[in-house]
Amino acid sequence: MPKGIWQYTARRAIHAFAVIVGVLVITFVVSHVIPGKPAALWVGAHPTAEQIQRATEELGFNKPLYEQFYIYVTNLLRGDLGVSIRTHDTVLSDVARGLTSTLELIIAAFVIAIGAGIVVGVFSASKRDHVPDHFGRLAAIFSVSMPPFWLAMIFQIVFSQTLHWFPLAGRMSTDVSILYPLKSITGFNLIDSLLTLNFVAFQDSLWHLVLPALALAAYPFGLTVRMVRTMMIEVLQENYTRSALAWGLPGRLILMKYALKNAVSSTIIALGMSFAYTLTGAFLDELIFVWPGLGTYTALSILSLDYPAIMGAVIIVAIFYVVINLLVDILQAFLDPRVTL
Amino acid sequence: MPTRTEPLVTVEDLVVNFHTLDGTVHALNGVSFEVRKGEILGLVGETGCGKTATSLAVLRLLPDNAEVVQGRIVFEGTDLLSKKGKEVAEIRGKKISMIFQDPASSLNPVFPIGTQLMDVLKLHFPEADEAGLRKLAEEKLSMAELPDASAVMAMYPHELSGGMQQRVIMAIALSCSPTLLIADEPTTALDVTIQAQLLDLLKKLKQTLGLSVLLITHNLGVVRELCDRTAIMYAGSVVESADTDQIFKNPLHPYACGLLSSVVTGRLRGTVLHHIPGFVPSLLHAPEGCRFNPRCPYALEVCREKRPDLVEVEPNHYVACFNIPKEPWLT
Amino acid sequence: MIQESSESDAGKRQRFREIRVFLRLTLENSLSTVGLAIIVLFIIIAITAPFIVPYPKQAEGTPEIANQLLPPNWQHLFGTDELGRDLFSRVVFGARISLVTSASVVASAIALGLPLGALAGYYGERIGAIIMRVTDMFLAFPPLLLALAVAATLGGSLINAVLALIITWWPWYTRLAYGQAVTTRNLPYVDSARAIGVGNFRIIVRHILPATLAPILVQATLDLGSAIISVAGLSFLGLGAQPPTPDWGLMVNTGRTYFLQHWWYATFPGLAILILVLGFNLLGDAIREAVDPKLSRRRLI
Repeated sequence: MPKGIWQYTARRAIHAFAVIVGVLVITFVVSHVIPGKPAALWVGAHPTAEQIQRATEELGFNKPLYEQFYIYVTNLLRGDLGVSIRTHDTVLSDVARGLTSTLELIIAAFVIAIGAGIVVGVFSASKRDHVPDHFGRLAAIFSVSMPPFWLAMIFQIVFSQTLHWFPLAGRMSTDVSILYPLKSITGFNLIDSLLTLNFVAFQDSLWHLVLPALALAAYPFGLTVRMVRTMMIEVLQENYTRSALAWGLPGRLILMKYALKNAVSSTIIALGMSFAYTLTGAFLDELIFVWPGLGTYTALSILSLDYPAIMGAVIIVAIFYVVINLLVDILQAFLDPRVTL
Repeated sequence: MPTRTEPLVTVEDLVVNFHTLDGTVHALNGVSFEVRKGEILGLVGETGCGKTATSLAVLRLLPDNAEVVQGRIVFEGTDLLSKKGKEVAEIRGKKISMIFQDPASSLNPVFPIGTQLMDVLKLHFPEADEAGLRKLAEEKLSMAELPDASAVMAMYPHELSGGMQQRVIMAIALSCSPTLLIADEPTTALDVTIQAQLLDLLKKLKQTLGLSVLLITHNLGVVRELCDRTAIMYAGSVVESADTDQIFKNPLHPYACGLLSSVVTGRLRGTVLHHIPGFVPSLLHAPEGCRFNPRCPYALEVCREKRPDLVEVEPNHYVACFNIPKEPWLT
Repeated sequence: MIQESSESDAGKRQRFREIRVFLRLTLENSLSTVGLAIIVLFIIIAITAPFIVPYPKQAEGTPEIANQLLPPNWQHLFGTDELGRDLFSRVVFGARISLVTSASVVASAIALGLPLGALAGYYGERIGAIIMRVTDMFLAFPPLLLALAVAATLGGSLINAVLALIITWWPWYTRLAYGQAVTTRNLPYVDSARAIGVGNFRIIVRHILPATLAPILVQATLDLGSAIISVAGLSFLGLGAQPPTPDWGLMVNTGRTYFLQHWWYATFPGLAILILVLGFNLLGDAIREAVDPKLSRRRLI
């Protein structure tokens, strides 16, 4: 354990907490201060004047701002995110339902993106300015330029409709879910199916995961290649690389063991950023593949102007993102001990 | 003090260009010198004269944009410049090793000292096991006079002071018992007191390990203290080389004379400080012939046309000049 | 009062040399030339759109029901949509929207964020801390999320989408400018300028701001591409352009309903997005390689 890791974690946790407070302030401003008639948004589409009036009183929009903020925060702490106009369920339960499903997709996409990205990035950097590097950079730039929703649709047409390699949409085939029902333990289909030895369900879930995960992985893949390549090139120019060479260490060892760790530890923070893009990209991706997760929920909420649901999802995702960043910070401390200073 | 022992590595007429965005820099213009067995040779010169480039050339560590136009670096009978990649890797660390100027940036910051040292030791002792390597590593650290070697093994570079870092670097560089150590301004970035300690250590190691050292520095005091012989470089070539005593007593090259009389001592109190007029030439557009000729008070016509070769003017005293001053400069 | 000397001749020559080297590095790279060519092509197309397009009225929304959902043919290069409108014309017109909206977003974000960041970095202490804390709050959100919330609050329209994106985008430039300002402020020549009495405003304009230019330029070029995708994404969710605007994102969205049987509807607008964004990314990447001092040419392995 690196020295000073506990103090560092504490510092970062306090910072994260402060950030969450900031997030709440901003979301409050957006939902309560910016709109002319905030109550109108919470009632539903085409509210009548009477409905708006009633909502204003019930939801306390006529109270002074600081009081509204107090109510806002206390509600959130209680888990009360309001009631969805569309589903008529509490937003909290809606979100919880979709969370694991979205996580499975995001994690799969991320693992693919990072894994492939590091490999291509390292290879590209080690062959800088030669043909393999050009291919690597081109692949990265292409991936980063793709509109994620469009790529998803192209995948559907090409790999599903035309080639019939993968299913078109959804998380599991209906016939499989009826004939080989999957018991939900963790909420992650891949894990649950393995745990219950339900191999048919495993293969089916896996097959449904491929296209959405690949489409979602494109952007973070490109980002990772770009970042790893840049970091790697920098590291390979550093004095400590030159010393290692002077002392006789073979180039391969320097590349694979030493330089890689240097580059990756610097890249970690930026990986947190690419995670953010994966999060928002997941919304569009889920919508197209009809993946039953948080993204689809949010997208449907937007399309039906379900304001409580939209804000609720935004808050949850934002807080989730802050927590992820905190974990990334801590991870970086393990990789680069200088960080705890 | 060794007089005429055999050479360990000989640099012959090395010419190196660097291709930069501003043009071609003619950095090394025919560098020639030799390091003899068991001696410390001081390679002295101002910033930019090519000392570092020369040292990097020996271990083939020149950057991508460097081009070796001509020259040989003879070590153990073969020309190092003609060797292939794998052969060069064989030599690095095991026969010739190198330490650099800034200790803080010469160690990988995300790995503990122990790992870095043991990885190098593994090159020389591939069959040794973890425990054996560890013991060996601690021995090497102790040899570099680091207190509490086992604690140091677990530390990260940023947890050590500059002096300790440089000791660690020495330990690593010498761990495979090379015969030649190239030290590029190893103490320039450190305090004077630490500097003295490290140079003492270097002297001791030379004795105990039978090490030969190519010491690169711009500090004449260090040279006087430590080096058996000295080679003075100016703008890309060696202009004078001899036993250290000889050079300081009787410098013959006009630049060397100017350099040594610019050294400030107590005796000069009350006098105007001496300096060599003019500036070091840009190596993008270096002067023709002897590169010192624009500033040289003894320049002849021939100096502007041809470059002088190193000539043995006295036993073991080499000078590259067409017009060596007759009267001694220093009193 | 001591007059701050104007840039000496040597300084000016150095600047010109730097610019020449920069241009040479950027343009010599074939990838960046391709990028630049794409961007210029799209700009020309956007400007001349009403004159070069076969069905300008349809591009603006006039339907032609008889020609519903025709696959690509010689009269309709990209096919037609569900209202019979020529997709080629609409995609071309869409270029205007994409270029204008992304330029607005990036320009406004820079106009807001750059001065704030420069001020925060230069003055430091309380002003800097306040500005940076606020910036951090905004940066805590995953990029599109906040834009989503704002756009949803304001209501779906292209202008609101642009506004929402500006609100989410400015902090990035503030942070960028802040970093550069802090580094520059501590440089010896800035200290000297202060010591001889040069006013703060002058220092900021003459020294701090130029230092921020290089990274901001790189970021802006890349952001123009990201902004296009973001606007398209918001339009795709119904929070941006509304029908009948020929916005690329909106077209992909509408096309989604039909595209499994009529592949051309969603493919071509999306392809347009891809190519234009590719252009910006190629150029931005090349500029970054040329400008980043850490990516110099010392190769050892």
